[in-house]
Parts: sequence; C-alpha cells; structure tokens
Amino acid sequence: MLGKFIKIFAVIVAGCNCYSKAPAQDSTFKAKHAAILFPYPMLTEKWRSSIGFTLMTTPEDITEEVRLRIPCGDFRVLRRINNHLNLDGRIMFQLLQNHISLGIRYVKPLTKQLYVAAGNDLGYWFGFLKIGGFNSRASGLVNYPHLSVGYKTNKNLLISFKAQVSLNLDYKAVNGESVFTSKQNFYNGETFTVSLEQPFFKQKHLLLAISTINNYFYWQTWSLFYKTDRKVFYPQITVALIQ
Amino acid sequence: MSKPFFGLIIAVMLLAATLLPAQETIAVDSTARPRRAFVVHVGGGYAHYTRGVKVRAIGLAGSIVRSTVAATFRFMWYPSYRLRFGIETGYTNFYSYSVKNGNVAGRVSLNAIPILFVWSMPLVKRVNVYAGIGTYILNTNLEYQGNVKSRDYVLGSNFAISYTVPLNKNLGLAAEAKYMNAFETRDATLGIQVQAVWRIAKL
Amino acid sequence: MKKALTILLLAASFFSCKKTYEVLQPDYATWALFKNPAAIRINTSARNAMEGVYNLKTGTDVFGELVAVKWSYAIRGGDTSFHVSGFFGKDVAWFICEGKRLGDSILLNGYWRKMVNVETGIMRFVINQANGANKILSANPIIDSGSITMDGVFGAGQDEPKVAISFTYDRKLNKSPAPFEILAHRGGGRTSDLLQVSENSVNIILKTPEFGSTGIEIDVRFTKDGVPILYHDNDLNLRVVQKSGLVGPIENYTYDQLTAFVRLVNGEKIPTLREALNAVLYQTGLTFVWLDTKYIGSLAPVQAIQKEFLQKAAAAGRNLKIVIGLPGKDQYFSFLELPDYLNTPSLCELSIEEAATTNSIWAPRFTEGLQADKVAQVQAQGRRVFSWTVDVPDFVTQFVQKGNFDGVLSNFPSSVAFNYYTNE
Repeated sequence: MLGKFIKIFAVIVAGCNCYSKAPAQDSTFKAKHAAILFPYPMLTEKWRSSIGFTLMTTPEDITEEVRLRIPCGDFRVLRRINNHLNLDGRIMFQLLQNHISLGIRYVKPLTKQLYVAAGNDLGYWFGFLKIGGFNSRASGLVNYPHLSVGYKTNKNLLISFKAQVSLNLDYKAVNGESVFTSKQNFYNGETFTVSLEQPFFKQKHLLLAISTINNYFYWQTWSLFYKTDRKVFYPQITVALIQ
Repeated sequence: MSKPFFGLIIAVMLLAATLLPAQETIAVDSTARPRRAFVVHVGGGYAHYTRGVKVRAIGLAGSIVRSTVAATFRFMWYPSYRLRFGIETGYTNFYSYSVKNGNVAGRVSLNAIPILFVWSMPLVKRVNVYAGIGTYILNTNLEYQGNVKSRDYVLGSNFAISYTVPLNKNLGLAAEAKYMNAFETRDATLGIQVQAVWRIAKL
Repeated sequence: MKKALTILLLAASFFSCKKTYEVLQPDYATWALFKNPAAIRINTSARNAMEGVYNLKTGTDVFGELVAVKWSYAIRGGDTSFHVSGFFGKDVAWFICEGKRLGDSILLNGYWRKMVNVETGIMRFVINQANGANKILSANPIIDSGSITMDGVFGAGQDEPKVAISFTYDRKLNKSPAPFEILAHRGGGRTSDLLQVSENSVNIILKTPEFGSTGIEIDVRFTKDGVPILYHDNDLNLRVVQKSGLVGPIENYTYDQLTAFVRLVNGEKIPTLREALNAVLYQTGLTFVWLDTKYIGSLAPVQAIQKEFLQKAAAAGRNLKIVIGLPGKDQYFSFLELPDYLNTPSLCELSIEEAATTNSIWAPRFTEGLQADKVAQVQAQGRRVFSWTVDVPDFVTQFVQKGNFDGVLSNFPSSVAFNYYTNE
C-alpha cells in the first residue's frame, strides 16, 4: 500500500515538474539526435537501426546457480510511415532462444523538448535444447502495448521512459513426445525502461537503457519450465550503437 | 534497503527536484564541444553498512560492527557529450563481528572489492552523478578453530553524487556520497568520501 | 535539467516494483471444539478407512473435482503425530490436518495451501455419524462409494474459515503400479516453494510425508574436515542460508565452523548425512532415499554410510532403500572404482548403457520425454526407471498417468501423489 501511494505521489510531482509553457514546436528537428527508444518523429529519414546487446540477471530462487549471464544480441530497426508513425522491428537472439517482434508506434511532440509515443508490438519467441538431458523446445506469442515519454536536453542527450505491458497469447512446450500448451497468464506483467541516447563517436550514437521486467513468465528462461502464478523480477541493461 | 524505503527516497528526491529553480533557457552554442579528456578519481572515506544482518552465530559477542572505511579508484573517459564512461574499483569492509562459544573465540569479517563499469553525467555545474554495474569480489576472513579465507564473485552496482571544487586547471577536490550495493548477497554501504580528481590527458 | 532529473527519478520510482512473496502458515489451533478434552486420537483402522479418492461437492471452483486423502506420521521428540493430507487436482493444492474423535464424530483441523502461488488458509472438517463416522470408527470398517462425506469450511490467511467445502468418498486410492515412488526433491521442496522448513534439512524430512512423499532425494557434500552433510549449492548463498558473513564454497569450512556460524533460511543447522538418515529411519515411514552426490571425489565414505543404514533398517524391520545417485561422469567413474559396486544400490542419471554397467536404477531428466521404449527396455532387465524433476502440473499428469515410470521426483510431491492415487 505504501509503495502504491509513493508511486502515485511520484507521478503527480513528476507531472507538475514536466509541465511548462510550451515553446514553439521545432519543425526542423534534425536526425542529428539519432535515437531508437526516444519517441521522435522521423521527419527526414526512412530507416534507423541499432545493434547491441542486453544483459539480464535472473532471479536466484528460480534459476539457482544456473544464472543466465550470457548477453542477448539485440537488433532494432525503425521504418518511417509518415511524420508520426513508425514501424518498429526487433530481433533478440541468444542462439538457444530467440525473440522477434514487429509493431507500430505513434509519436507526438508536445513541446520543443518533450515527446510522447504510444505503440503496440507483437512478439514471437522460440527456443530449443537437444543436449545434456534435454530434448525440448518451446514457443510463444506475446503482445506488448506500450507508452513512452522522452525529454531532449540541450546537450545532445536524449532521455526517455517507457512503460510496457506483456500479454501472453500462446505458449507451447514439448519434451520428447510430451506436449503442453497453455493460454494462462493472459496478463503476463510489466516492463519499465529508462534510456539515455547520445552521440558516441563519428556518426554513431550510443543507447544505454535499464529495464525492470516483472513477469509471470519470461521467454529467456523457458528451459526452466518454471510455471507458477508468481511474478518474477528481472533487471536488464541494454547497450547498443545506433546508426 | 527495503522496497518502500527506496521508493520513499526517490519520492523525496522528486520533491526536491520540484523545488530546484527552473533553469533559464540559455542560448547554448551547440556547435562548441567541450574538451575530451581522461580523468582519474582517487579517494576514500567512511561507509556504513545499511542492510539487515541478523547473525545467528553461537555466542555472538557484542554487536555487529557496521562502520567501516571505503576507498575508490575511478578511471573515466569524458567525451564531448554529456554522458561519460569509465571503470571503477576500490575497497570496503561490509561488516564484522566476534563470537565466544565456551572457551573458543572467533571473528568474522566480510570485505569487498568492486570492479564496475561506470557511467557519469553532470547535473549542474560541479555536480556529477555516477552509476556503475559489475562484480564485487567478496572476501571472508574467518578466525574460529582455524583460519579460513574464502572468496566469492557476485553482481553489484553503485550510485554516487559528487561535488568537485577545482584547485587548478587539471586538479580538483571532490566530496562524494556513494551507495555501494552487492545486490546478489544483499550487502550494501552508504558513505562519504573525499577524492582527488585529476584530468590526466586532454584531447 | 530539472525535467531530465524528474524523468530519471520518476523512472527510478518504478524500479522499486519488485514483489516479495512469503507464505505465513496460519495458526489453526483456534478451534475450540478440537481442543475439547474429550477429543481423542483416531485409531489405525479408522485412519486407514478414511483414505481414498473423494469427489468434491462444493469448493470445486477453488480446488478442482477430486481429492486424494491419505494419512502419514512422523515422530518428533518421542511423540508420534499423525496427519491426514488431501491432494487436490487444481493449482497443486493440498490440505494437512490433525484428526481427533469426539463422541461419534471425527474432527479434522488444519490448513491448506496452493503451491503455484502463496494462497493459504485454515481448513476444518467434521464427519458426523450420519455421514460415515460410524462406519469409519467401527471395528471392521467397510467403506464403499458415497458412505463418507467430509463437510468442512476453509478461509484465507488467518481469517476464520467460513467458505464451505465438502467431498464424498468415491473409491480406494489407486496403488498401481506398485511400488511407485513419490520422491520429494531436496527432501520436500526448494527454498522458492516457501515452505516453513528449509530444503535439505531434518525438519523437511519430518514434514515431507504430509506432502504425500514416499521417499526423498537429498544432496550430499563434504566439509573441509570430511563430514558428509546435506547441501545443494556449490557456495554459501542467500538462497539456502541466512546471512553470516561466510561466502564461497562450503568445502572451505569445517563442520564445527558451519555449525557455529551458518543457519539455513528457516533457522535450522545444516544436517549431517547421518542425522538425516536417522530421521528417515527412526522418525518417518519413508521407504526410499536417493543420495544425490554433489561432490567430486571418492564415493567410499557414502557407500559405508549407506551400508550402515541399510543394516540398521533391516534390524529395525523397516522397508528402506537407499541408493547412491550418479548425476555426472565424475561420480559415475568414482562409483566404478568402488569394490562390489554391482551390489551397491545406485541410481544413474546418464545413458541407459551406463545405468546397465553400474546395475543402477535409470533416472533420465523429464525433458527427454516419456521414452516408453527405453523405459520398457530397462524394466525388462529387471531395473527400475524414475523421471526427474517434474513440476509443471500438466507434465506431472502425463508422466504419472501416461508414462511407465516406477517413480517421479518432484518439488511438488503432492501433485505426483494426486495423479498417482486418482489414476483409474
């Protein structure tokens, strides 16, 4: 209860801090502020991409000593539709388990420095393991509606905050000839991400993000077959080069 | 640190941010780039162990010692832009305690050496915030029916805010408040340090 | 900068959203009727008569359609305590109650829990004379379908139970194939299962029969001074033990150092292997122990303890099997170095050829599937096959009811028990 009160209080104070008289919108926003997560309109470019990795620590009580500390490759691409709409594609690859998502994002500048976006991604993950006592594979379909707010500082640093929900649409696991399918946990959890993007060297920009994933089921831990009605907390960092 | 306590700190800081004077819109010449540089921070100070520790050792003698010293060595790359990167190491002793079990006396101490990747950002003039993530090398020194030195490697992070007073063009003196957190083992200290800040190369 | 700081701090506030789960076992000793001085222990024949598969009439939305009811015992401090457990088909739910006879009625008082989440509460039953208590308490109970109805109430947490639950006797517990081992992982479950007793402890060994276990799997390591103990992980860590300032491999410390400084998460001391086997042999009715050898080194000390306790079991007239587990190649080759290894009961997790070489029970991981052909091949050679560690409820049902295994190891032995006893 105290935690919920503090969050509501924080949102109210944050809203007061962020509101200010809006200066004229910058219609000449240039892509010098290269960004992937920051919710900016793609006015001049058709494509934007980033390549990097995510690193997650898994909760000790479900993974025990088998902590997943292998980075997951992360490739993202944005495709302009119009001044406000982008297509957003993402591939997260970790060899034995992978995740592909495709979605759409609507971006709206509120002021010269404040931007918001809303979007929805549909994701498909799959994993397979056929060594060391495993004859297993699994796959699933997940939907991710999300909202973002971004602030463009005067010093080329872009800060954004993204709130995303995970809706489990389908799950299937196979061990040998044993099959299990489920549509339970339709509401799977939430993820909050804060990211910083700024020029790095030459034309490359750097993305640094930290996320808190709070899910009943997370695809990277599929091989543990941990299936309870308890949310699990996964902190994750993302580092990527934007081009 | 308990979840509501952490959230309360954040809420208080948000309130403080509300009270910050709004920055005037300054005509910043965005084409002028700050000088790039390598910067070294070296210093030390006092730290206090902040997490719970309910030791169940037989014959606990006295209380658990939570006050300790801490040291920092940080090597940073200051690019032309706001966000800065580097690596940090140092030392802190988390806690120690003594036991007396009949005729047998003993002592345990747990210390840590962090090895972290660190990001830093200036907030306002002379004030920087730091956040790091990496490994803590934990070392147990046990004296009880023999001596044991045992080691473990755990994930951890740190957060710091510092105020730097320039002494000359390349040297400064900083006061830093730092939270060191080996979150895998729920060990953490909060402390203050004095550091020498030395810009060793400009590019 | 104020706005930037605001956004960062707002984001940070959401980082405190990690939820901490805990389960507090409700205090059910609040039922005045149960504390009536005239209420006495139920005798053996009545306990046996009550065991069976029951159909739920009310409470199906919470607990499912069926419940398997079974009694167990444990001896603590010289006193034998009997508990009746009910294993439900939904959400790996169970109840554990004490039982008494008051006049012509039977009273059951205890608590329930769902293992897939943290829901728990008080649960009570009355079986009155008209609903079968007279048959249960008779000298030669003859129980048939519909002859017993347990009427009860349950609640949430420490709340006074008020929600109705009742079930009616349908048939006897299925016990085919027999013997079938319901094996409890780490003695009864893991730290993350939020039991009030720690994994690999004497307390969980005494508790595990109430979860439906007929046997246990426990993890064996050695201290620096060569004392065999129960401990799963490589290092001392907060998943298994309370904070003590001691870190690193458990093999770095002597037994006296561990006893003086280290406690398991629920406060128990780390037990020796001998303490654990003594508890199994003299304080429970468990019939199977799987010693999972987590260390690399000679298996001779474990073999010696195994022989010692098998002899003690025989002397006590107890049907107890103790096997040395071979989880990897290192332990497999160490086992082959033992004199008389072919006559040393063992369990091999590797290939069926390696299990045949060591004359072991074969125990493949459940992720390899039902493997009906290979299972039949091993059983044709006169050896048994177990599967491990099966927790997902749907997989438990498949492996128990459609597989041909001689036993299943699980962190949820109650789920295995439900699927075994209700199988038709």
